[in-house]
Amino acid sequence: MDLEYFINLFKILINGLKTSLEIFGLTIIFSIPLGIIVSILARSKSVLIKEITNIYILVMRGTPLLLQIICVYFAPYYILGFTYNRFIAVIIAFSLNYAAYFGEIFRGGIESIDKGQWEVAYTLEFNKVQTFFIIIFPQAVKKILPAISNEIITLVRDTSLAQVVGVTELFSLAQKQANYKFSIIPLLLAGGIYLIISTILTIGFKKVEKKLDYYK
Amino acid sequence: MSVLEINKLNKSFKGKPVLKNFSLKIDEGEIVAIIGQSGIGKSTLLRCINGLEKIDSGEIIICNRCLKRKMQKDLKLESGLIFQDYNLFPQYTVIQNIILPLVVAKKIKKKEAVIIAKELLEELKLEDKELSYPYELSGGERQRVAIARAIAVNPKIICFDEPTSALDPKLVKQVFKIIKELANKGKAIIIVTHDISFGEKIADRVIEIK
Ligand SMILES: Nc1ncnc2c1ncn2[C@@H]1O[C@H](COP(=O)(O)OP(=O)(O)OP(=O)(O)O)[C@@H](O)[C@H]1O
Ligand SMILES: [Mg+2]
Repeated sequence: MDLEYFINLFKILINGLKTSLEIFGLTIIFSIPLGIIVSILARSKSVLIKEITNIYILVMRGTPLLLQIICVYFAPYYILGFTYNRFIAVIIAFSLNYAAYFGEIFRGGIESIDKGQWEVAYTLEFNKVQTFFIIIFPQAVKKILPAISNEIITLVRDTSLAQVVGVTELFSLAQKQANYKFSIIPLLLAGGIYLIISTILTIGFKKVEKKLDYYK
Repeated sequence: MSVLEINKLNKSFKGKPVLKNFSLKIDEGEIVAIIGQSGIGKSTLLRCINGLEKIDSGEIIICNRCLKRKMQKDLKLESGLIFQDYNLFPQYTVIQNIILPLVVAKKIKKKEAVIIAKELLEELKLEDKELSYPYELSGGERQRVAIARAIAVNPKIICFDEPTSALDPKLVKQVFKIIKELANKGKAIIIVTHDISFGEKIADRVIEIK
């Protein structure tokens, strides 16, 4: 076990980490706005829209993400006979899945805000969009921040599921190295990297929570 | 000139009538107190005037314009409502609470909005609370911020739901003065109250909902 081995291993894993972080970042970029839309649709006055959204949430939360990734990647092949970029498939599956979770969290947060806030904004002639983004949503975010932080830290670990359709991210590379060298070290190293990222995120979220503590 | 005219207003909840053929006319600068038992429909009346409830029948005419079953957009700012629990925006400072409706709804430039807000804060003795958040205020101060926010957009009608219920006698006197001054400036004022003696003292007319 020499230093060179470690440095090489680290270099290999960093490559995988890049992919993992890409999955992580892109999923957040897409799933949070999508989640906001899901939360709005889930509160729609139209029963049809509401029910469709509820079924979507149910399916996304009620089946394994692993299966969803496989479906998103392979369904076009079986149905239409074409294949496409695995990485894109992973991002689509992750975004759709996390949008459902975020949507449900956002909905809970929005519904926890006193109806009087909507009403007073209405009498002051805010329109619905203004009321939502200027008054309601900021208050909801403060309440649901711990739940969001949970979800985002889960996402860090979930990125390892991307390997199921052959996207080489951090964990799959670590596994390959572990098999190749017949050693558990690469896996432990990968575990350490996940832990560091989760720790950084946890500290970051604590800071944001503190920042939002300026009002009650 | 009457700013608010309510003719034969009917409002029910799930078939249960709450307001029955209610009529009322209020002039500029007039103060009307609405009294009546708990659950009789006093808050509902204010909510109808401010477009928060759809009415079943009858008409509400604000500034000679009829408000049919649904509130027309540009009529909302003609009438302000100070809710019983004030509903201040907790994440914004006192001055932001007042500026926001001016900037967002009335499309007034922020600079001008600040000037309007500061004037009001001074009038309502809140100048040192400008940068406080609602949770840092006393009940009376919160109420005055709610009043400032409602009158900043310059409504012709101002509705108060139980303005004295959470106040001690000294603060009751203070809000009494504030309401009187608003009336002197020509605002039409409707006060819903349990406190009959307060209603009789402050109002030009006391109306009981039965
Ligand atoms: N959204 C609603 N759905 C069903 N019933 C309602 C609704 N809002 C009010 N009511 C009913 O309408 C009646 C009048 O309510 P309102 O709040 O106007 O009474 P109030 O005179 O203001 O009473 P209080 O003095 O206790 O505030 C009550 O019986 C109440 O239960
Ligand atoms: Mg009431």
